Amino acid sequence: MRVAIATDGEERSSNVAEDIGHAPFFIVVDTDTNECFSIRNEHAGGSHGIGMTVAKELSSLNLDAIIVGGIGPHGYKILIQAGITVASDEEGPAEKALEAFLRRHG
Amino acid sequence: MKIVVASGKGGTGKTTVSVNLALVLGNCTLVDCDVEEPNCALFLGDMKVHQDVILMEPAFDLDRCTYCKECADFCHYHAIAVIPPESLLFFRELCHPCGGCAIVCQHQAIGESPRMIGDIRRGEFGGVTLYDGQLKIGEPLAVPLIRKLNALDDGDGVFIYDSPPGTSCPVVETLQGADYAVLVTEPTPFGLHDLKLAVDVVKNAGLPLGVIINRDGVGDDGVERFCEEQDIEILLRIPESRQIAELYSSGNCLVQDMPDLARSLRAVYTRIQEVVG
Repeated sequence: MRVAIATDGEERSSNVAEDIGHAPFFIVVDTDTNECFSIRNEHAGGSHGIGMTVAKELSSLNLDAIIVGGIGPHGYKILIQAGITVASDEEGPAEKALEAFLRRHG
Repeated sequence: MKIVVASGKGGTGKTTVSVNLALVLGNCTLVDCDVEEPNCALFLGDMKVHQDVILMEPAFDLDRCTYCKECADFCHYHAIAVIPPESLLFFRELCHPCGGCAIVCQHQAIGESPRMIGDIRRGEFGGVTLYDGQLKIGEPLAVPLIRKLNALDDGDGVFIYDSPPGTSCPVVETLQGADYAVLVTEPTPFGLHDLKLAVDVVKNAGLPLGVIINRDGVGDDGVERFCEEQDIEILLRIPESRQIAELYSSGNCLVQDMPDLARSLRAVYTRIQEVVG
């Protein structure tokens, strides 16, 4: 499974970001191989519809799921339409949130 | 001549001033642009539907669509999302129907379909012709309806436009084509805070303006001092008055029962004429 976690930093110990649009980074983890890499969110400083812009870009990353603190209704619809499972209201270290997510969806 | 009666804060007396100014002038057109809750008619009487207001929104022909994203990339309001491989979402509530998506589409996959967003009503009350706009419940865009109301000003005679509250797009649209803005405020810190915002908007629009202080006698002298500092003319002070509150709350206009106020409003109009020239 390929999971992206919206985060405040580049480490797996970084906290889950509060908002998908303004998240500084996304950490993408392949849960089968445990390989991971991070992407800097170029739109983090933006406004107006930023969550949708980010959701559109994430929807082309071949993801199965995304873990985030908050997401707006339009960004949510875009990700769901792209077949991505959205786990929102998440917080704390990214790796803990991922573990909890995998226990629920493993 | 187009006079816009605006405020920053809601509930300061825009409608009271607009309706009563129209009545003392007679032979004029009053236009209620507060399309989310038009209320001039409450004080004047029955209205009849004058015209429906239709918006053209994009209609997608998915048989022709190649999901190339040209339309989605063009739309600054993010109203279209193309999701690979073959999925398209249209967020109607975000669309500001500009027609741009249909123009940029290379595959003739986007047409237009009509959507009724509200209507314009009309009523005759003595010499005053009242128009108001009613936005349908759930419609997110007030501006297209206000634009239709703006088009009623044919430059012939006096038009008084009762603006929505606030300082955002609906107010800016109402101010288009105006000759003068009357800002109604109350002499309180809240009134002053929003008056400052409204003054900025009107000055940005390059319009002459004057202030009417409603419920004069309550609050503090902040508005007076601000107007003095900014060299803004105070056109009228309407006193805090139980008589006004009673007339208003029973749906009555003020000027029939308050000849002094009628005279003052006529003087306000004369002053506006002098300024506009």
